[in-house]
Amino acid sequence: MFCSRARGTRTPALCVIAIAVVLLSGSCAPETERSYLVILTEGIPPTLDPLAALDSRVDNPVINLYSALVQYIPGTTELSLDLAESYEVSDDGRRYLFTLRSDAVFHDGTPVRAVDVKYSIDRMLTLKTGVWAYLTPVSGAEILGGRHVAIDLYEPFHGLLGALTRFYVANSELVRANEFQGDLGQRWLQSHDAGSGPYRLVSFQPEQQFTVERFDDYHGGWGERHIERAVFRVIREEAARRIALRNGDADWIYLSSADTLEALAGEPGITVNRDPTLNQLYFAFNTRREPLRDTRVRRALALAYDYQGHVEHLMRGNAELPYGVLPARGECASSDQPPPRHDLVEAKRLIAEAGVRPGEVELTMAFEGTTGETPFFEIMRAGAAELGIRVTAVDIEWDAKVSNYSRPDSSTDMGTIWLFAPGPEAHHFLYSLAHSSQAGDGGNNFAWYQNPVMDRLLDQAAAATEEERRCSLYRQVEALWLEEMPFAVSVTMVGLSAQRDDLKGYSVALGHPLTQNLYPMWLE
Amino acid sequence: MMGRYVARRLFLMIPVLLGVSILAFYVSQLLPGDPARAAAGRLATPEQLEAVRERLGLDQPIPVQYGLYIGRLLQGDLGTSLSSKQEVAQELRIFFPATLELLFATMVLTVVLGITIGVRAATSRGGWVDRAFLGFSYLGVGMPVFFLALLLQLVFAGWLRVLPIAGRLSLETVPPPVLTGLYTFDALFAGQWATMMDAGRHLVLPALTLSIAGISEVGRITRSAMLNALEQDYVRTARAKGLSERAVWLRHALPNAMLPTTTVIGLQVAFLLGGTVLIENIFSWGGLGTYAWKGIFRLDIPVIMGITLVSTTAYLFVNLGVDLLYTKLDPRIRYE
Repeated sequence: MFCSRARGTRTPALCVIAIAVVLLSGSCAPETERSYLVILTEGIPPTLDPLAALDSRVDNPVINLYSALVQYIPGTTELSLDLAESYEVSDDGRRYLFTLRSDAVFHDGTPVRAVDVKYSIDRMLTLKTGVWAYLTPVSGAEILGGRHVAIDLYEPFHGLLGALTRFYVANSELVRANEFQGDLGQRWLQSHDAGSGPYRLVSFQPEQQFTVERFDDYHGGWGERHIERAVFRVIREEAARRIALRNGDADWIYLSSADTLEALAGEPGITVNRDPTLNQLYFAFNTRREPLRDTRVRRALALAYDYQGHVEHLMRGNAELPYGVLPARGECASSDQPPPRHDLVEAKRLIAEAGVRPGEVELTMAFEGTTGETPFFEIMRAGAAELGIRVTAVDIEWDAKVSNYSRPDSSTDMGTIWLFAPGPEAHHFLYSLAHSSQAGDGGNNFAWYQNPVMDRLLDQAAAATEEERRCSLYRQVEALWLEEMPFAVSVTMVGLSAQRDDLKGYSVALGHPLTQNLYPMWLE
Repeated sequence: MMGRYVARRLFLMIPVLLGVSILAFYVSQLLPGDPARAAAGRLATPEQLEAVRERLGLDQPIPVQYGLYIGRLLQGDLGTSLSSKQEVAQELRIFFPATLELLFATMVLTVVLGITIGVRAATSRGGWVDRAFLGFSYLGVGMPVFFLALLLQLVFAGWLRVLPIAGRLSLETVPPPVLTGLYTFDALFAGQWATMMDAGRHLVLPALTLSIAGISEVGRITRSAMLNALEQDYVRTARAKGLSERAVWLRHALPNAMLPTTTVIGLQVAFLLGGTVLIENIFSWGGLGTYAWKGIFRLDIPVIMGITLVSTTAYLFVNLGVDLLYTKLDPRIRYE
């Protein structure tokens, strides 16, 4: 009425102002206490398919929606049984026999059976994607009874249980019913839940948010203190996430900047978390390309990177240097191994020895600017410039980066890769990066590094059941790595996050960093 | 006459869309990476990769691939996203209304405030309103949009806490039944006033951010066109007839000043169709901009093609609308 009666040039503007007043006054309603948890993240997972849980963005919802045979005790790398009631290993180490719990059910009420484990294994072996990268020694599964299933291996594999923490069992009947043109349910699972985890999916809004709520029949049981319902919402800008946390509109936020962490550290009602992780940052050098085909050039570039500057100045101490090529908390890591070294004198000597003249070489480097990797590129560019090598930026997202590395001729000269290993086993770090089977189309070997000696050592180490022998083999792998330098090992991540004080029970599992496992959490 | 003109313009859209589709298709072939790999998954075997390549027709020469694409397009099939495995048309139905709602709110602010301020500035030339507007317009055009967005978030969501910081609805608000996909309209049609208010409150900051530059632009053009119109003979005649100053501005000067303003408004709409990426990301809007951004970074060619065609079509219709509006604003303009 107001708008239709008023006349003149002021009319429309007055209408806009009136609408603004009404909208703003809507916020004056008294605040009600939230009964659910709000977690703010950088991005929505590209899919909810449990097979894709290799990607930490996917593991985030999946660890809450699905269960694995075994799982890490939150905050540790100690394994505990999850869907499995017990397990045995055959004498030759090539067969693991699991007995499933009798009380585990999927969210639709169907019991979790051996057939579901076999279906999930078969699905992984058919699609050869996601967590398969860590489970390549698995040859198949056999149903031995309603609750008994065997997982078979080509060779003994000491890292199997650790890798199985990321292998989530899906409801075979439900997925089969939703297959589309033989896709084994990939399309349906993108936004649906077929799990037996402590939480079930309530809603999924692409690029905005998803909501989960407690699954009453969860086999782990429910005590008095748990989260009933949680909303994972995307707010890409860290500054906005920080405002939301301060205002009490969020309970937990992910941080990528040490500056934000320091700014929030003194805020009343807010706790900041600095969690050690196993995540390592590597710089892949395309070993198929000149001049990076020459190991001296690769070693020189590795020596040109300012690791200490990265840790102290960029991350303000919120990062760690690895021991040799392994994270400090990784299996077989030893403090005797020197951390990566910044030595421009030696780097220049190597460059001169390789015959590379200043100003002659220009290299491309792929990185993910959207996830805060631009400073890594800048540090590398500055170091390379000292050697007379020009580095240009190729700023792309993870999926495009994977595509970029799918062929050696189309890939960039250098690139970043964060490795989110499922557990501390050295195998997960070294095999997936340096084994020739993982080159390009094969996985994380973005360097296209292929060396039969390295392959033999990695294969032997994977099959070695005795820790001493295994670590001895990994020492040899490490020595060869540092000599050949297919990847420069940069830093180990310290997980940064901030939360409201009344959120309790948050802990990060080293094998699942950046993942918010809701089950142990509660709001006080 | 007008009907024939519209029919001709609609017909001419076909070669334009074909041209754009050819360009977009060929440019997308130049992107680094392998779309078959993106579709098959990072660890698919060479055999699986080849099977996917064959299934998607990616093993065919580029002109053949384009022909296959157009053939499917004519049947209303925009293809399947390589990354999400969902139909592009279906995903566009989710993302496009979000952008349309944001665009609508932005344009309401731009047009209403831009024209009002422009007229006021012109009619008080040299006064404080005029000087203040000129200062604002320099700031509005010059200030980076991402900085403005963060500033507004900090002030209205952080300090004053009167508006939500991001998203399309509050966490506790259930989206209204889908009719148009525009939450405000759908809530209005469903009689869900609280939801409508909530959706409206979420629109304020992103729409305001996007509209500041537009208000400056529309305001400046309106001001200058008004100043020009106010010096014309017909305005002098109107004043001589004894009409009130307000009537002279609104009934005689403004309609004549609207021609260049309409052109600028049309250009603003066109800009916003492709220019919301940054703001959608900052405000977690989940619209076409976010979808396009993801598609590009994921080398998802069907998504890139779908967005290009939808945006181009919308752009062509906006242009047509502006051209038709000219005839209403200036009866001397005739299309044959």
